[in-house]
Amino acid sequence: MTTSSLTRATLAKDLRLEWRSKDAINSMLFFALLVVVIFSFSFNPTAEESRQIAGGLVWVAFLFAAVVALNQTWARELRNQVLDAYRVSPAPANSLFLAKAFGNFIFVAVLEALMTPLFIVFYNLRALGPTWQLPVVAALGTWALVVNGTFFAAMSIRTRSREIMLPLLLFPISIPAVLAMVEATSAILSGEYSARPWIALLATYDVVFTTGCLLLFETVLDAE
Amino acid sequence: MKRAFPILAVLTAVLLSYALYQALEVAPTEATMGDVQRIFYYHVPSAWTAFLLFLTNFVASVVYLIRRNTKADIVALVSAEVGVVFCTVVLVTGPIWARPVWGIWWTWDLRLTLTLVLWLIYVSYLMLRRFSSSGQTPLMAAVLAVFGALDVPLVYFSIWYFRTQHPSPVIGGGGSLDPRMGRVLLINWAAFLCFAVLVCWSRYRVERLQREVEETQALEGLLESRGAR
Amino acid sequence: MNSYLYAAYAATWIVHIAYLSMVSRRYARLRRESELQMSLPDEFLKLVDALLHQYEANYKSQEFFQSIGCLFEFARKRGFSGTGELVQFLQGNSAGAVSRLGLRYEVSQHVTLFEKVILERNPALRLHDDVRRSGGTVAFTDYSRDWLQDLVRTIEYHGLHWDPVSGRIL
Repeated sequence: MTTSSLTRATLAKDLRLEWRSKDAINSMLFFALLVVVIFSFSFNPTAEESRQIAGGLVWVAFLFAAVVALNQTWARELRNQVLDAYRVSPAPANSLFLAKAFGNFIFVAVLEALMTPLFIVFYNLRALGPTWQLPVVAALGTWALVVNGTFFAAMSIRTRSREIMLPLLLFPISIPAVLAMVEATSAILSGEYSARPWIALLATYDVVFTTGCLLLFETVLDAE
Repeated sequence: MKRAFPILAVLTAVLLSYALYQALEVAPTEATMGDVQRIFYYHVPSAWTAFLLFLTNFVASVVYLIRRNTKADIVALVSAEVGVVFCTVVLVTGPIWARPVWGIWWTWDLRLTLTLVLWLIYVSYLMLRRFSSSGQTPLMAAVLAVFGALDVPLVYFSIWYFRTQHPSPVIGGGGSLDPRMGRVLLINWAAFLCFAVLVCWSRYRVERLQREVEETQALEGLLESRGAR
Repeated sequence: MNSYLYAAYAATWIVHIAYLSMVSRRYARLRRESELQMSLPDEFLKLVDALLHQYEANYKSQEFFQSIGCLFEFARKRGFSGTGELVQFLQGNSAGAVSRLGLRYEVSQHVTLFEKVILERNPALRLHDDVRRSGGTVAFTDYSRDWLQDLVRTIEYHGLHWDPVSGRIL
């Protein structure tokens, strides 16, 4: 089996599991919904204000919701020693990593697609800048969260109190990515300045950390 | 080697008091900020020392990943921990300096923010070391240290872009340093570097002792369970 | 204005002293524990005796290998380096049992056996990085004992038998 076919097989398995249980997507959706409602309540912004703060709110909601899904990534494989079986099998570790990262990317992307209309309704959003850049920012930003999140989730399953450990590891490292996502989104919504340097920064972040994860994942998976 | 430690301790104490005297008495008073500017002689050397220790942590982590050497792991742990201590000093003295000079405690200035983010990254590093189960700690920590180092240039550029879009009071920068001030600054840095080496050394010995005690405990547990049967 | 300056200097040293006191308290605690551990040799020697009798009974058992690993580690902590010194230590302290079993020969033989097994390893076995890196010599740490146990189990699981005398997998 080649790397890509192994990735596809694992990804299909995860998607099928999720399709049947809908654990991750349901909890993420409800969580993000709560964040949206609470923020909207507590700030009750006008259209002009919401353009300035929405970038931050959207991404904070997605970031917290993504952690819910990321925590489930590997926990599922611990039952019945599935992860040990992966480690003993001759399959390349990176194909497993990529499958998990793609899976999380799909979950978070679905969440974003479902939540965006809600944000538009609650915050009366209308982009004043080039709207076509928004999906680009969303894709790059989601990948930035998910690639490191999947990696750190694999690290945090080895720790005590692993559910708490993941955000503690992920958030500090993600600061530049979160800043870039928020600023790019605000730039597009307000139309006051260009989002391009931020998109470039996000793309750089993605390339750097995807490379880093692929180089080091086998080490982390095999750690005793 | 046994005598090197007390010698270094005495040298550090002498250097620190000499540096303090230089900072308070010898260095010229700054024209606009007055005496408050003397915080500079503690703030800046602490920052440089912290960055140097974080660099040491990165190098030691890479060495650990390649060689799986226990010493490198202890060096990484110690330098991160002492680095966080020095970084805390920077973050505490920074606002105390900013308040009388700029009238604000905190601003999202490039250097301040970079220091804060570094502090956060290394605190999360220490948390990971605390929480992971013993056998895997060094490896996980080394991987996280490499990720943290990859993050630093990205953090730098993101804050730099951020600053260009949200201008704030222009702070420091430009202007050349009085050579007398530069000399006092270097003396203080030398003193704090010596102090950092001293602290790291003590911490290194404590860590070695801790690992030995833990290993022996595990061993005794094993021997007892066998001997009892 | 000067109060800010002194506050900053005081804060610097408060942070440093807080950290140093944390380190020194830990040092004091560890020192006590380590002294307690060093004062245990009598207990230890009793255990050595018990182990050697066990050794007589289960010559080929996995537990023997684990126990020998423990002994090595324990002796290393008390400053013994190689196999020879360890044997002297054991002979000096538990002479009867050792001479009865001819431990000098046995111990050194088994150390090389470990190495042999690892060097002539079955390529299907996944070896730990530490072992790979050190070119086949195993340090008797907590980990490698578990590893060895796993190795023996894996060999048996595959329907093979590990002959401890020749060190070969049959």
